[in-house]
Amino acid sequence: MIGNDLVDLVAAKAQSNWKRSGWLSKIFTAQEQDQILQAPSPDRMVWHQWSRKEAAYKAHQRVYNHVPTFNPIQIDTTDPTFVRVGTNVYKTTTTHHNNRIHSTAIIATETAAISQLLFERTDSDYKTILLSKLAKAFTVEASQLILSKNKQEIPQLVCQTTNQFIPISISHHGAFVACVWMLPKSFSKQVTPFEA
Amino acid sequence: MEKKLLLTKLKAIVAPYVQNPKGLERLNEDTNFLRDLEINSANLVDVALDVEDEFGIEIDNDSMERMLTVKASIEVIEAKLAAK
Repeated sequence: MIGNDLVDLVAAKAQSNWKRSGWLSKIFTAQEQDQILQAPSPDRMVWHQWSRKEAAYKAHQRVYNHVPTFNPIQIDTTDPTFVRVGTNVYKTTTTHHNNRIHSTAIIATETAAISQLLFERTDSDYKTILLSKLAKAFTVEASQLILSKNKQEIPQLVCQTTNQFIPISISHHGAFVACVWMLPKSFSKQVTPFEA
Repeated sequence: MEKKLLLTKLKAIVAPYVQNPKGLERLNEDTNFLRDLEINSANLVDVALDVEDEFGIEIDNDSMERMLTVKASIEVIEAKLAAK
């Protein structure tokens, strides 16, 4: 199962003051806080670790289909690759660009390939653009794809052509939209791999 | 504290973080911070910190975990105020 989280560093700077008293300690354990404060760039490290927590949370929530919660301190990002939520382990991959950080998380034992796409949003209606890009990747008509959320607010992509439900994680922040998905093994349509 | 006053105070606390103003106009007990107000999840921490400052209470992690809706937040604040 998958999750992803994108941080627009410009938006993050405008929206959040992570140096605010109490902010770090509500999200990060003492050890994680040390790692952030001792990093070459704490400003970047704080969002690096935040995006890993969020990505792992989304994967974890999808595994258990549990109600949305907000308890970031329980998601342990001390290890640079593996994120622990209780006894569950998720593998995260984080990429940095000048103005954004993007993390993906999958169950550590997962072997299925995940695909992703990332783009700059040009207007408020990013979902239409997202669907057209996904349609291109899936080589189907955009009208055949529907994004829906289940009762727990977990998104999935419905492909009407093949009548399949594809787990998809969508993250938008500031100027950017990112999504990752994992194809069910039975998915028959040829899929063009997408690069971020 | 009267529930109506509590709701007014909570609305003022979340307002600076709201990205969907229509959601704020329609704010009620069922309002979800992420879905309806489009508050960025990193700002949920600020909401918790602002609630602590406004009401003079401490929001522990188990309480913050639930504070994703107006209803749950009011329940948390009322319980903390009663325990003061």
